[in-house]
Amino acid sequence: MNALYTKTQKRFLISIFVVLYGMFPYLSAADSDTNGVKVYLEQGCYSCHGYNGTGRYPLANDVSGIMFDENIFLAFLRQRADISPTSASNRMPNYSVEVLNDEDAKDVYRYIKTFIDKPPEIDDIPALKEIIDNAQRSTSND
Amino acid sequence: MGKSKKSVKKNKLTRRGFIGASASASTLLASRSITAKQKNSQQSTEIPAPSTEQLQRDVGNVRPPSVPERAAKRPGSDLMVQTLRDLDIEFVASNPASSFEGLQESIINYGNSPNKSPELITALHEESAVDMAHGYAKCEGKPMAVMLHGTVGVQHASMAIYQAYHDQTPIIILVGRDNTFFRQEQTANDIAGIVRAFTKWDAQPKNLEEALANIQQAYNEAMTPPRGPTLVILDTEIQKEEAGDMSLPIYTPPKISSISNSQAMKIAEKLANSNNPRINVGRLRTPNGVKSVVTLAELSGASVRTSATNVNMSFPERHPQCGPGKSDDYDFVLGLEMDGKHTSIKSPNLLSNAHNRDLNEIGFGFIRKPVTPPRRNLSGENDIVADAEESIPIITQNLKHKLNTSKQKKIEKRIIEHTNKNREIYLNNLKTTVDSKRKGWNGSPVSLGRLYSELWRYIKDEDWCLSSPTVFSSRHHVGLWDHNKPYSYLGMHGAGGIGYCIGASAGAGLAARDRKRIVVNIQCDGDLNYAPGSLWTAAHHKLPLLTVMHNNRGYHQEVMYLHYMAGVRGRGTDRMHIGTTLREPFINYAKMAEAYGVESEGPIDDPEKLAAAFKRGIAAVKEGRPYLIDIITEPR
Repeated sequence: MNALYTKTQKRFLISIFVVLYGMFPYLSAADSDTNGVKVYLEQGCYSCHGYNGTGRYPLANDVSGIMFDENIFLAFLRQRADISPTSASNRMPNYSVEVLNDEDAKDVYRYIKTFIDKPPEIDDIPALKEIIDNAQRSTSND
Repeated sequence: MGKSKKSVKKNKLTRRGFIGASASASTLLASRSITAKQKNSQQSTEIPAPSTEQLQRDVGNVRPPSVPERAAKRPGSDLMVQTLRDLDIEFVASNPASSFEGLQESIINYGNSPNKSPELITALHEESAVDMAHGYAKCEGKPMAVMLHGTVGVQHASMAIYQAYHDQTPIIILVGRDNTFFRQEQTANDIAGIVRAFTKWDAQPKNLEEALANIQQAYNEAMTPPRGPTLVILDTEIQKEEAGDMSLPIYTPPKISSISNSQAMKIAEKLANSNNPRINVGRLRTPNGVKSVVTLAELSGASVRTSATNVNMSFPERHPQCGPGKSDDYDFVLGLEMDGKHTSIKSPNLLSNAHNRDLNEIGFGFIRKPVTPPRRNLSGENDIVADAEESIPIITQNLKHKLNTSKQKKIEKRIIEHTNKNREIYLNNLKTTVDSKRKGWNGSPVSLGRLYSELWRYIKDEDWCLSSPTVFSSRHHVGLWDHNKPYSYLGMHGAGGIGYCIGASAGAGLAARDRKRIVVNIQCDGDLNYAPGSLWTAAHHKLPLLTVMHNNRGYHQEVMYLHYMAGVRGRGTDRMHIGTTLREPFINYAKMAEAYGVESEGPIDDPEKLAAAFKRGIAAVKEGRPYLIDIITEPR
């Protein structure tokens, strides 16, 4: 009798489940079934770009040049450094086609394109407005 | 059955019954005694003459029965405590042990004000004790002491000692040594040898007199650049021996090398005659050094570059002269513990101490040649190896003599120009900085920019100290917070050893507790798990410490390193969570804090809840109740 999944496939699916379970607090129900978010989290994009594309190296609002179009994005992923660094590096990793196929990469691209960051203006954020106001007040009083 | 019950009742010893029974027994014993005496007297035919002892007793000349004398009426460890007291050592942190109970007993019992200056601080790990001393010294510019137990205690503490040494931080380490103890593995001929390569100085005195002098010298060596931890090994016998009428050795404060008067005169001349002098200030030694350099800057009208957002003990960031100044055509740049284009005064580095400490030639990275490649082409001609802090007053004195009225007017004008330009630059930069914090403002997990911005609102009017390294939380305080005190930001770990933050923050809390200061610790989750017991120390000693968790649920730097490595090798980039993340289960830091007696709340992943949490936290720490807020954050 043929099993529905091979042992390796089962292990893979279980590991995906385990990873996604760990990420559960950050996933909305609507996003969880898209391949883009799954790959974005699995591949660790969140670690530099943030869970919402607003991390240290933001992707939201298309601020990054690599998001100009799908082909540039793919080329960027494939053309990263592939020489073993002497020292540990936290730069953008290389994604060869062996670890991230074109379809998954395109799904990630489409998911990243959904990142929109619309923070309030400074005047509408008391904590930030106060900083500006206090600085202006203190320097004008000196 | 009825008989049995009655019997139990009869034999039951109630309170009233117990008192009654006691009274009856006493009466019975007394009557028996009288009867015996009566019998004896009846047996005697005549009354015996009183003995000498009886006669002495009758005239009141009674001596109590002889008892063994106490081991020491004035134990050696009392004098050790007095020595520490005279050196103004405020605290001694330790985890209790069997090799310094003599000294510990003296700390908590000796003198008219026992357990005050120094006060015994309970650490739950030797590494935490040293971290506390590290954080304290960074705030106050002077050492506190630590007690460690033999070989095992020293080894527990060794990483923290290593960091403090690399960070050139003064700490006095007193190591108990019991050479007769049955656990021979806890003693050694030369315990200090375990950490000799990364301590400034050590001694193993042979007697009490030597021990007291060594404690004084340990202080002086710790405080003399290059500064660092020093050790004194104290044998148990010396701690417990009778000091008799021994007096403390006469103390001579350390002599710290400064530049010569002729060198100071040349520098003063340059400062006086330059049109646009500049002073680059690195990390000085003490708060007095910071005051001195402010005086020099104001006298010379120089613009100043500060390191206050990187290290402690630097120039106040919002001082009107701090900034690029009116223009960058500086015609004389003086570096104080920092490179200066024309002249630099820098303390000797740790390499100068390596030849008599790294005896096994371990060759730790920071003491190998070249130490740190200079960032500029040093001619060496005008670079002086001397303590900058000690040199500043000599420069200032010389400068005063070189300023006539016309020069003073020029300086006043220059200060106004610097002030105006620095204000303009500051306000422009601030707008850009503040605007950058809006990124992901309403996102969840919480953005670190928002965390720092919201927190600033509640601490800006307090006397605050940011005790934790901030490199892992993206340093959002830079440009946003005002680093105006010698202890505003305590800088990095020392040697990058993780587990430092909560211990060092507790040490900063010790420095803050009686000075109406509060301490803020932006605590990385991975770091807290090394030695969280310092939370208990904070609660027990009522330290004004606010711990804000940067809880990204992983060792994030290593997530990135591993990711890059897998990318290079073209495999398994989806497995980077293995060994680098703290999931399954998540760690609940609010509950961890609660277990240690620290008030807490969280985990918070809704940014709208930050402000109220910070408000509650600050209110608590101002009352001496440490507080922890667990915040689920973006990775960086």
